[in-house]
Parts: sequence; structure tokens; C-alpha cells
Amino acid sequence: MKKILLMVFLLPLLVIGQRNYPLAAKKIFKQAQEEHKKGKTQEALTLYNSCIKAEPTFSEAYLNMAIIQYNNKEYTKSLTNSKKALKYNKVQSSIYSQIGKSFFMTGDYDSSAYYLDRAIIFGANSENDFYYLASAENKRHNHERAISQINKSIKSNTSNADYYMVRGDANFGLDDFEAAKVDYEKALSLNQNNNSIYKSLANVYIKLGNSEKAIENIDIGINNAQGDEKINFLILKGNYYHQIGDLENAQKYFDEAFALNNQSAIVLTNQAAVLIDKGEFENAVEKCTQAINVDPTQTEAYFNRGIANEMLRKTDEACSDWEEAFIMGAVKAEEYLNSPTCNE
Amino acid sequence: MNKKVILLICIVFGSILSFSQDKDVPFAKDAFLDDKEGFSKATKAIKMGDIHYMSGSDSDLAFALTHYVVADSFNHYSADLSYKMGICFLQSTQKFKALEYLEFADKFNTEDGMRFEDVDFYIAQAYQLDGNFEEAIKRFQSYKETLGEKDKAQRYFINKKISECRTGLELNKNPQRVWIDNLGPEINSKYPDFGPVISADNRVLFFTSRRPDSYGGESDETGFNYEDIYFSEREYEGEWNEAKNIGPPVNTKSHDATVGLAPDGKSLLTYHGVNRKDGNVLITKQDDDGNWIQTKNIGDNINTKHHESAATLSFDEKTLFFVSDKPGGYGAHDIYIAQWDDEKQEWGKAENVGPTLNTEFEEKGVFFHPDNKTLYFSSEGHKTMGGLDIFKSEYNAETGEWSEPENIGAPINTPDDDVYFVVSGNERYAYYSSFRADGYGEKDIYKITFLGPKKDPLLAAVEMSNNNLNSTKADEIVSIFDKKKITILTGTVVDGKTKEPLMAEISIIDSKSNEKVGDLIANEDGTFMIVVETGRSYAISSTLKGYTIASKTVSTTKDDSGKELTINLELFPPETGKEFVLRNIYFGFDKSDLRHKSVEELDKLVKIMKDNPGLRIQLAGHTDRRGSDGYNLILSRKRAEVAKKYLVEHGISADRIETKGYGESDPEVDGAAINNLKTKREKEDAHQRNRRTIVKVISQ
Repeated sequence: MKKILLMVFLLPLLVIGQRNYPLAAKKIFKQAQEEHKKGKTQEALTLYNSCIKAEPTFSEAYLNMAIIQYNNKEYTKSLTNSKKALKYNKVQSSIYSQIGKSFFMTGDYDSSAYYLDRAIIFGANSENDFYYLASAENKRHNHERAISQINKSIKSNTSNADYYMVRGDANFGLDDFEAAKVDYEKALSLNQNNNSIYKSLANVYIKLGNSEKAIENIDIGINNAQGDEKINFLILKGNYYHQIGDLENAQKYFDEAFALNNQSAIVLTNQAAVLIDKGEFENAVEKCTQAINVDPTQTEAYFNRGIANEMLRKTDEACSDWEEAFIMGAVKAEEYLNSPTCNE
Repeated sequence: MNKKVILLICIVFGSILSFSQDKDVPFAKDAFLDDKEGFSKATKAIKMGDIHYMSGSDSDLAFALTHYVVADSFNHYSADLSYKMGICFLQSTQKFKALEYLEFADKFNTEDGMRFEDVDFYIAQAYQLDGNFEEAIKRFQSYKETLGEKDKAQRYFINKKISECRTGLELNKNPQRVWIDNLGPEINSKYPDFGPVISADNRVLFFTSRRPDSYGGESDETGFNYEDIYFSEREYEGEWNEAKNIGPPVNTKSHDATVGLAPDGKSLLTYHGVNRKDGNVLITKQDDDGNWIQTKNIGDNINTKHHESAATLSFDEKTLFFVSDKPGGYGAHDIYIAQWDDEKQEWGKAENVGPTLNTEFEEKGVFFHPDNKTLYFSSEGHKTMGGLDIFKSEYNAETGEWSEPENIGAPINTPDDDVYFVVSGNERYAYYSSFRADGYGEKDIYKITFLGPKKDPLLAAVEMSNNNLNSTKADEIVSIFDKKKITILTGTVVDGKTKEPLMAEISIIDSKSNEKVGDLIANEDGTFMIVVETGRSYAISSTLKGYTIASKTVSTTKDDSGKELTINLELFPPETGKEFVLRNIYFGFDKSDLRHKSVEELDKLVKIMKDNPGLRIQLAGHTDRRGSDGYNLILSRKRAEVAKKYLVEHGISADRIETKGYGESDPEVDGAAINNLKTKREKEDAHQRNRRTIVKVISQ
């Protein structure tokens, strides 16, 4: 799905009355809406389904079901019902918007951007829509487009920390770390309880070479966070120390993260990285294998296991691992596959 | 083989004695009263050893050592004996043994240092060989202080040694990433195995060995049999097969050693010599049956009455590098080069490769890589860490110069001699001879695997998700939507010739109000989409740098509400004689003035004219059929002139624009067709199509 650069000057759209549904279906729909407004979502779902049975083209019923399911974090179901709504109404911006958001939550950012773009073409202009679209564009690494969209959200609402976070991410993606820092700091000023902001600030300070501030923010995150978030901060700290060549500290923080969750593929992979640098190749292979067992899509685990296997003189296994890593997108793996190691 | 030498090998390698005692036990009768016979035998051995020791030559020291070992087995803690054994080991092939003996003796040196007067000198060498360069430098410097001003040669030698140690320190800071593996018992033996040469594809290996099964069975003063050539083969990714003697006619009763191998493995250069002073390079080839034919001398331009001992061929076998100690060089053995003379079918005159590569010291063991520019050789000069080190230099065919030789680094190079280095065609592997602790005896052949630069592991990054989208709720509950009177216009813009999609600019204008509805740029795949109000007519035009204009009109009716209408546009580059149509230049009915805001396409045309400064065009006005022929002709001319005037007012030179009026004479939709149309709107659209301006490219 490609982006559309668009400047639309829509004329006022004339309305010629509501869609024609049978009265019975409309009545059920209204009941469903009542239940929906009261928060009785199960009842509302049942009634929406009845509405659809009475009138299969009732796109609004599909859309409201999608909204309930989205709020229940049932994103796939939300997507299904949104698409059904679209089938019967191709010009409603809120339908495109709902599809776009559902795609975002299922991780299909290309589709998300496509449908959110369409929502805008059909008249969607809420700060929320631009926010989702900007986030999707960031995921697709279209950072300039993300900035142009999130600026519209910020223009509508200058007090939403998340908007500055998205713009900060976009600037980070464009390597404009100073601008990213400004956005993250603004976000922090608006919301000091979002630990993600500390993570972002830490990353940007690392890029700016300010290790003191980077560690300061990571430590705040570690202190404030719990569970997976805390683990992420420990990984971040370990990654930082690895980057500067301090293997002991890197290992220390990865091990702390491991103690909290010994089934994290990221932690296992990064522990393996340290072990490789320390020359403990057997242990590194073991860690990588565990990481792959947890998450077979952990590219870095295959890559690293390849390095460890090569040093253990297991050339066939090394090349096989690099092939997997290459297929998953590790660019460097191609170089190793083409090296004499794998091509005698 | 000389039994004493065999005994030396066995005892030395069998010996696991270490100096744990902290006391000097001289060979004094009183100390060994409980074993008078053993004492007598030991002291006799020492005396025998001393006779050879005093002679000082390498072979004498080797013989001395055989006797000393006997005495050492009786009493391992004699400082005097240890000192002499240390010196003997230093000159032997088991140099790594020297340090422990010298260190032991050093402990008991007198304060004035006179008991073991030159221990600094010897122990420094032992430290250097052991890779303890810092300690070696200290001892060399300490020894240097004892030298007088007149000991210039010795000072020079010591300075060189110190320099070697510094090189050793430097090279060991950044060791090469390699595996060094003994080729194992299929290739190596307890006898000297050295001089490996390989085919470029790393499938055939020839080397020299001094084994008991040598052809002729004779031995020299070292006690080892004469050198013979052995070979081994391997399959792809396989191990080397057990080495076999290549046999006659290549091997003779004299010394026959490998020297070089053609990259295809079918021509072998050998060394043939009786003594160390005279030796020649020969060549043999493999016939179609795989047999090696009689060797022959490679000619007097190469072989002299001096010592030619190593040679290597270029990939095309037209260039030969070899080593000789003939007079006229820079010192000891030097490297020479010769070109094959196709006419005379012999090697041409040899030339010294010059002082960039050759030094006053020994240069040996040449290998020219199949890349046709890199020469590997061993040298005691340049920046070596001790003994012969392996260097490489690249030849620049343009300048005719060799690059400064570069030490190929540790751990390939060691403080001892490292010679006969050959590299596989893909530069993944190399082979050489070396003395290493894990060897089978004397020199062994090792395979080096180059691992290349360090491979850095990747760190998995933590997800950067920074926002709370997953806690955002969906929109509010929707009510029944109102019907919308909108139509979706979609389409594609392509290059009219190649049909490739174009990211062209697109404008949509309401034909009636002349209001711009939208400006957009097509996607990478040429597609575009816009939503417009149903029931109106629109003018769509597109352009892109390097192209002219594509222009269409589209009318929507109420039936088009909620539907998608497709409009595809083709753009063409300006070409002499070609035309394109401007449909959306609007004049009032029966007027030649431009309708308000009706300049979108004219503005595009201005840009095209400016982007193509050589372009000359004709603007041809056409009208619909309403009104008289004559009137319409004049009207169309005037309209073309008005359009021209607009362009001139916007910077286009008037002499680039011609005008012409066609009136109603050349309609796009003729009268009959219009009459057949059913609705008023359709007819009006048809009239609209006839009202157009055609732009014709006169020249570029």
C-alpha cells in the first residue's frame, strides 16, 4: 500500500437523508445502541447480530460490533466486522478509520496506513486518526509522512504526550536526535508516568553521546517499571554497556533481566552476544538455541548462533544459521553466506 | 638414521622433567656416593658432550646435547649442565626447551655474573622464542651494557634482536584471526616435514620430508635421510589422504624437495641438491596418465653454481620467482624474477626484484598468489619478530613497484623460523611449516584457516513502542449514517509509450465553477484517488516534468453516488509533430476571453515551455458547431491568440508560439453523433469535447 500525498479541497458534501433499512432492523439497532451506551457490550453484541440477521447490509451494526471488539482488544474480530461494514458502505470515513486502527493493532502497518489514508480522503480529520496514521507511518519507516500527520494532531491538541512521543520517534527515525530529544522532553513534561518516555530519552541520549543522561533515564525506568517493562529497561542498559564494550556490565544487566524472565528471546539472544564476545561459544550456542525455541523468528539468535558455530568449527551449522538469519532480513548474514566460510 | 639423533628425539620428547628443586646440585662425587656407577656414566657423558660443545657448530651442539641428556637424566639439577644444555637447545630444532634450562642456571649465577657470563644473551633469546618479548628486551639490554664499544657487530645484532622483540609485542597486540591446525598423522611424521605447496583449488598437496623410506635411503650429517617429495590429495570438503612418496623419477638418491607448484597442480618445481652450497630448481610435469615425467633443469638463466632453493610460478606460468644466494644480491639469499621466452622456449634472464623486498638478510620461501600481484616470502629482514617471518607484498603493474612488505602477523609468524607459506586460490587457507609444541617431532606442516575480520554479534533491540495506542479506545458508538452524495474518482497515470507508471501531478477542477477540487500526486504505482461531489463535471489534467499534458473531463450523475469511476491518463514526452489536447481552457460562450480561473492548464503549459526552452508549438483553437462557420473560425482564432497572449504574459517568447483557428471544421464528436445522443447533458458534454485547444509541437 503506497502512501498518497494529498491536498484535498473537498466541497461540502450534500446529504440526502439516511440509509434505508427496514423498520424492524432499525428498531433492534436502536436497542443495541442503548445497551451499548450502558456498557452492556455482550447484550449489545447479541442485538447487533439480530439486527444483521434482519438486515444483512446494516453496515452500522457491523461497525459498532467492531468497536466493541476493538475495545475488548479482539482486534482480528474487529477487523472482520469492520470489513463487513465496508462491504455495504464504501464512503464512510469512520469505517475506513476503524479498519485502519484494527490493522494497526494486528501489526499490519501497511494496511493500516492504507485504510487510514482512505479515511482521511473520505473526510476523517480527528486528531486520533492522524495519530494512528502517524504511528503506522513510523512503523513503516515513513518518518517524514509521520511527522506531517502527527503535526495535525498536535495542532488540535498540544497537551497529549503521546503525540510528542510519535513525533519524537519520527525524528529519531530520521536521525534528527536533537529534535527527537525536544519532543520526548515535551512528552515527559506532559506525562511523567509513562516509562516509555524514559526509554526513548535514554536511546536518544545514547545517540547524542550523553551516556550520563542515558543511564540516568534508564535507571529511572528500571526503578519505576515492573514486569516486562522493567525487563526492557534492563535489556536497554545491557545493550548500552555492550555497545561501549563493557562486557561485564552488559552481562550483569542481561543476567538481571534473565532472572526476571528466563523465557525472553531478546534476553537470551543478547546474553549469547556477550558470551560470543567473551569467547564462550558453547554457552552462546545454548543460549541462542533457547531463544529460537522461545521465538523462532528471533533473527539475531540465528545470526549469533552462526557466529558461535563457526568458532566451534561447525561450519555447516553456521552457514545454515546465517541462511535463516538472511531470510529473516539480517543483511550482514548475506555477506557471511558469500564468504569462503560457506563457499569453499 | 643416526641413532644418537633418534635417541635425542626420544629422550627429549619423553622427558617431562621440570625444575621444581631450588638447589644447584653439581656433579660432585661426594653427592652421589650411593650410585657411583651412575655418577661415573654421567660424568663421562658430560666429558663427551663437552668435546662437541667446545666446537660450537650447530651439528656439534646437537651431538653435545645427546650426551648431556644422558647426564641430565642422572642429575637434573646441575646449573652448569643446565646452562650448556640451554645453549645447545637454542641451536637445535627444539628451541622451546631452552628457556627452562637457562632459567634454572640463571638462578645460580654469581653476583658478578661470571659463572654464566653470557646468560643474559642466551636467556634473552630463549625468552624471545617463548614469546616473552618484554623480558627478552630487558635481558638483551642488560647484555648490551656489558659490550664494549668495539663490539659493533654484536651490538648491531643485539639491536636487531631488541627491534624484533618490539615487533613481536606490536604484532601480538592485534593477532590475526586464524586457526592453525597440524595436518595430522596422514601428512606429518616425527621426521622433518616442510615445504608444502598446493594447487589453487586446494586439492593436491606436495611437501618435503626426511623419512626413513626416502628413495636411496641415505642420510646426511644431521642424521636424517635425504629429502624426498611426498604428496597427498583430498576431496572437496574432505581431509587429506595419507601422504605417499612421489617416487622416481622425481625423487632421486639425492635431496629432492618441493619448491613450487603450478596453480593447476600439473607442473611441479623441485629442488635437487647434494649439499647446501649447490642446488638447482628443476621442473616436472604430469602426463595424461597422471604420471610425473623426468625432471629437467629450468635453465641456466635460473640455475647457477650457487644455491637456488625456492621458486614459484605465476598463474599463467609465464613468470617465475625464485631464490638464490648468487653474488650480486643484497645479502645471503635474494628473490629474483624471470619471464618465460615463448620464442626461445626457455626462461629469460633473471633479475633481482630489488631492495624493496630483498634485504641484507635471508629471503626465502617465495609464493606468488594466483591473483597475479601478491608475493609471499620469508625474510629475516624487514619487521620480523624473530628468525624468518612471512611477509607479503603487492606488485603494482602500472608503476612497476612492489609495496612495502607487510608482516602477515601473529600467530602465523612466531619468533622462530616461519617459511614456505602458500595460500589457496580463495585465500581462505594457507599452509606452512613450523615448529610448534603440538607437532609430531621436527618441523610439521600446518594449515591456517583465515577467519577474516571479527564477526560481531547482533543485539536484539527492545521494542520502541512509545505510545499508548493499545490503551486507546475505538470511536464512539455510530448511528445510522446519512447517505453521502460522493463519487470516488480513481485512475492511473502512465507513460503513453512505455506504459510505466508515473508519479505525476494531477489537478481536478469543477468545470462549472472553475474551483479547484484537488491537487495531488499519483502514487509510485501511478494510481490516484479522490472523492468528489456527485452530479458535477470535472476537468482532470496531469503533467510531469519531461512530459506534456494529459487532459480529460468526467461528468458524474446522481447514479454515481457511492461509486468509483476510473479515469486513466497517459502522458507523452514532447515530440516534434505530436499533439496533445487541452480541454479545460474555458471561454465564456461566444467569447474569446478566458473564463475566470480557467488557466490551470495554461499554467501547466507555461511550465512545460519553460522546462523545454527549445520547444515551439502551435495552438489550434476549435469550437463546437453552434454559431456560423465563419464566426466560429474567427472565434477559434481569437481564442488561440488569447491563449498565446497568456503564455507570453507569463514569460514565454512570442516567436515560440504559432496560432491557428479551425472553427468547427474539425470536431472530435461530429454533428451526427451529437444528434444521436439522448440527453441534454450528453450533448453538452459532446459540445464540450469539441471545444478544445490542440497543442502541436512544431520543433524542439
